[in-house]
Amino acid sequence: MARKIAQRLAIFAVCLLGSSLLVFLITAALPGNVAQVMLGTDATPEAVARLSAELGLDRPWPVRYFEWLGHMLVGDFGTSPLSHEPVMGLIGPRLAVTGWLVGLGIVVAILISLPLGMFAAMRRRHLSGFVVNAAAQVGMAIPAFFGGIILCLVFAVWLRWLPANGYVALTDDPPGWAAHLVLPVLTLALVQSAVLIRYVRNAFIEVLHEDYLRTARAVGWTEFGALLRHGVRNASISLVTVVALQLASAIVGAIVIEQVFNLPGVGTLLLSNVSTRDLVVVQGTVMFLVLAVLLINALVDIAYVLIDPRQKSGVRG
Amino acid sequence: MRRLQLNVGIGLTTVVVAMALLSFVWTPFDPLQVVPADKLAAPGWPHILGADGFGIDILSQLLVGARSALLVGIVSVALAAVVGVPLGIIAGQNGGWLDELISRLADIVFAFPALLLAILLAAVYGGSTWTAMVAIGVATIPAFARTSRAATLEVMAADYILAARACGTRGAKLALKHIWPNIAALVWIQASVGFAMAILAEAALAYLGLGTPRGTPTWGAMLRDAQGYIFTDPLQALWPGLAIAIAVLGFNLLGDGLRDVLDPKLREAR
Repeated sequence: MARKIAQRLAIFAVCLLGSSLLVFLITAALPGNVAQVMLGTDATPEAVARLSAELGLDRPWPVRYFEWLGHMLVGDFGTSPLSHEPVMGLIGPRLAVTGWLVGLGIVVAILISLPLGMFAAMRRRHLSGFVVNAAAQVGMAIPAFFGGIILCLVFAVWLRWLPANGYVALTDDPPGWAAHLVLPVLTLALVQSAVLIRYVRNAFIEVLHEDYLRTARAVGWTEFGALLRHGVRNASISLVTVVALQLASAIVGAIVIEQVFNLPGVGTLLLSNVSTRDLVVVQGTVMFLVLAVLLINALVDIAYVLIDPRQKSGVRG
Repeated sequence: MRRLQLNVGIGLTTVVVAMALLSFVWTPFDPLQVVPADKLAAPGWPHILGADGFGIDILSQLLVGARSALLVGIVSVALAAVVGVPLGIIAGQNGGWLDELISRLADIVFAFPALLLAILLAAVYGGSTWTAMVAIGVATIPAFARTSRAATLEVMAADYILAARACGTRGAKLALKHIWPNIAALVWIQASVGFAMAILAEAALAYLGLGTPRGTPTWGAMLRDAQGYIFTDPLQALWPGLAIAIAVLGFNLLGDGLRDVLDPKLREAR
């Protein structure tokens, strides 16, 4: 089992190295000059030369890559040459916004999709199960930003129950914080649960065909009872991976939802630096988000090894 | 019931393709012309779906917007398939270190979110239809590589492959003559689902202002503009959103429907 965990950690390291190289090559090894891109076409040659020197662009890119990588390993994601603020200092205060959005979004998504997916699996030959499945199919086709706009239209514009956009910190005004988060969290949760419902449904349909479930039914359990007692644990093994993939996609999806509801999160930071062409901040923020995604994948792979007893006995999974 | 998904999928995708084709020969108004007098005109006549905040006819933009959705879908899925399918077949056919290398590379690209790739490209080169297509295409390569690798592995165990190899067929000839015809159906299913994802991603990029720039109507950009009028003119946001949903739903259903028809193993589960 220790070997399996070490193997997963090695995959994590390789992925991290590969994607950092990708990020670096796109932003730093581009044809033309990074400094020119950052300052725009109307910059004076002196200003471009000064920024080039500040960024150390005269050195070969492998040197710069390993230097950048080394700094990140100790938590330094670079310093903006335009605002002179460290990238981590910029991310820090915005992390709470994105963190609440993603974390609550996934929890709500699981609370929605687990019962609905189970229901759709049990009633798959009935109209009601078909309706749940069809609703999930339609939900998957609705882009997050459109869903967000519709929710905003209903709850903020027509009913006037909730604010349409903006954010207040939890420590400043807890009820206001909650009110501002309801719509973004619900949007993220609905988008995620449309995908999750189908996985939950398929996982439970598979479980329903297992012999142990038939045995449980034969000794007198109702289908629902048997599913709760034996099905949930067995289905959860395959669902852990799916939830993790959704968590990773929620981190990226949050970038879009932050724009819909004008939330000052990490995604907003990233996009505003795309428009000011601050490539150092863009590079650092993208790498930070990629790191988060990869870390989740690695942790779940390890959790998977720990949960599934079949993984312990050396059976190749 | 079995054919329902397929038929609805075919119907919806036909609508989207027809919108794009129609836009080449006819749109009710010039989809770029600003008419200040028609600003925020209500749905009716002559603006059937109304006009936006610049006075541009919404139906005309909607029709032309189908073009960029389909263009980005076709180019990015083609890019992903042309690169991913051969890699998947090579990995499945040869196994060993080559398989390991290709699979790990696919893992790395798969773990790298498409949206972040698109944001990076837009930051460096400026957002354009090309950066969107490249980002979505590259991000979709692993899906094709994995699908065709798994299908190749299954095909390689078949007796006809054994027979072909006994006759001395191997390498690229084996792949083209015996493997590809047997995995093509699965690749087409993947292409349909990939198409839906690409349209969704293109719309998101246009919404964020990172895709096709202004001057070419896109559904995503229309939605972005419409959001500014949500308090006064909420209907505006409905049309482009519905168009995206119809296109994505159509290609998703088409893929699922094809899978049900082409892959009998999955039937019993339903």
